[in-house]
Amino acid sequence: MESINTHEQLRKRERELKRQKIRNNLHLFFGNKRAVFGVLLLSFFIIMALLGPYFYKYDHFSYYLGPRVGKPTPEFRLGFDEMGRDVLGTVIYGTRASLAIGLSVTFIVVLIGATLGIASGYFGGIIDIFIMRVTEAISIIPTIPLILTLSAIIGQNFQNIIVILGVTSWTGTCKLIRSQTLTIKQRNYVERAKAIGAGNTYIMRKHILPNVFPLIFSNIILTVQGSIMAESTLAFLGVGDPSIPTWGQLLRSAREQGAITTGSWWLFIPAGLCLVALASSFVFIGYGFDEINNPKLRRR
Amino acid sequence: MSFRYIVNRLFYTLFMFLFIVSLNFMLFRLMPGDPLTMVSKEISSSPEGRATLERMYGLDKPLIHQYGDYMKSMVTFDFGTSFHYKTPVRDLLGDKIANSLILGMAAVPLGIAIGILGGIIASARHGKTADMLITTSSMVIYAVPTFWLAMILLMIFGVRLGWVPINSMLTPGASFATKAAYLKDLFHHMIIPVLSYAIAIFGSYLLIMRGSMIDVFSEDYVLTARAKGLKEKPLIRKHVVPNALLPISTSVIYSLAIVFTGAFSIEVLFSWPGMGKLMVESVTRRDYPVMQAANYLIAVAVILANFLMDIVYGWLDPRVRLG
Repeated sequence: MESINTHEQLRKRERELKRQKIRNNLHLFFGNKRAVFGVLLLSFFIIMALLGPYFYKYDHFSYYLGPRVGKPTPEFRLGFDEMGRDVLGTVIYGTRASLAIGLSVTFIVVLIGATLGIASGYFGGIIDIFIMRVTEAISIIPTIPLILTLSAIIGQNFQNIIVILGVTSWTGTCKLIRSQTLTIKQRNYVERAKAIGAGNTYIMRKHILPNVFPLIFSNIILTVQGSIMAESTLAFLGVGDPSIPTWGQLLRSAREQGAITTGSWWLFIPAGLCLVALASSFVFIGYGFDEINNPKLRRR
Repeated sequence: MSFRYIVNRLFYTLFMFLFIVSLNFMLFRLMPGDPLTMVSKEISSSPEGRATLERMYGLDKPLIHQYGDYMKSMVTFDFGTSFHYKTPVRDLLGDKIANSLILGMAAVPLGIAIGILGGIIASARHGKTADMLITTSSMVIYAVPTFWLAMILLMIFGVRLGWVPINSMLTPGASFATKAAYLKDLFHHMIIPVLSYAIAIFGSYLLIMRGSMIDVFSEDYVLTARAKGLKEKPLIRKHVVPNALLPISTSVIYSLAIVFTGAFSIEVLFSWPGMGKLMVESVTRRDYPVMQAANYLIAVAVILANFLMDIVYGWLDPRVRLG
């Protein structure tokens, strides 16, 4: 290797290394069949969420387009729900709702988890003890009873459900970010930044946060999946916002209408399949990233 | 294990107990709206009626007194009267917990066992077709909502094939001459709920166990054992599995401790009269005494389980005690 003696060369070499690392990781990621399949599946749903509504010619919010729990017709291929709404409309718009829920819950989770986790790991001492004790205590409370209690207390509209899911699922992310912060704190570039007088906030924002992020990526992806499934479970249990059509709402009405005994498959098969496909796309991508970060998991 | 470690954990357990139980008190005081209207609209609409109800539930006292009363009633397991059933919450919960335990104690150990076994098999075949199949299918199952899986099984075995009843725990209105007849009916009703519950949870155990096994496989002592010429099977049984079980042991204890809280979506779907169904119904009925009591019992169970996990972990893994 040629010697590095000028600032210019150093910069160039750094850029090269970075590009190489990205290429390596992309290669690893796309060498993973499940991860690629996950990306394709997710792209399908993203396209459906973005473009689907433009190709859909009915007003899916309008009631009684057809008979209650009506059978599929050539015009409405997935039949009608108990309010006479087109099931296909709910399936298309439900993609939007699911993705919106998954992303906004994850945003809240990362916001709380990163703030507390980085502060805890970076400052250490009494701050760390206090934050971790409280996190620990919250994390051992079973999630569903806590969510049910909160939803009984603050109400069940769409925004509230997102907030409730966000404030009940950040503890795992927070613990993970804290432990990664502890290792990154030891690195030379943090020492160097401190030595040249960088403030704590600056270091946390510019050095810790960007370096923690790739390590928790699979956790973030799985949080999206977890919150999508949690919302549908809540909606199924009847704890949700009935005014917004989601896949979970459709599944709830399938239960309430006894669709399984009457054989009204259109109430629960399409929505359930979409839910499984979307959730597994995130699981596949999440575990794909896991294999990039953890070389042990790769093929021996 | 050092005495200091246990005392340290005990203090921490006490802190968590106070934190969670106080949270449970505060949550129900913070809520908007008027819980007394849930008890009885007619009584609470007149000023005198309201005052009576407030006295009855102790809401006329200052907050700190209410907190004292709350703590006393929680510690003595005297949870008051349900708004909806108008019966003592304690008796109500007793029955429901028993029903949830019947379901959970059959399903959860089954799911854990399948998960651990599957994880061992997949990791032993790491990178081969069997691993690919097992891991991919458990990832998909991990992404299947429990209730949807149960609906599909119910549609196939309950409706299409008619092999099993489609809901509740016992045949409604039936009286059972013998214990055996009762058990037979119960068992018949349990099959599908237990199966769907077990299938729904095994995926995550499988993935954790597989990851943990793969971690252990790369340890130096495994290499040493291989170098000594140990065959693959005894190596896995004697060296890898015991060490790989360590990280999963805590989540096993935790899952068993919260079995009595019920399987929410399964109980609701099958009209299984357990805790999960009761809690979901209590949300819509705003039956706060029931919810508060259920939350308290769950808190006590998880806190005790957490303490137990710390002790077991400290015993199994000496490194923890020093940290």
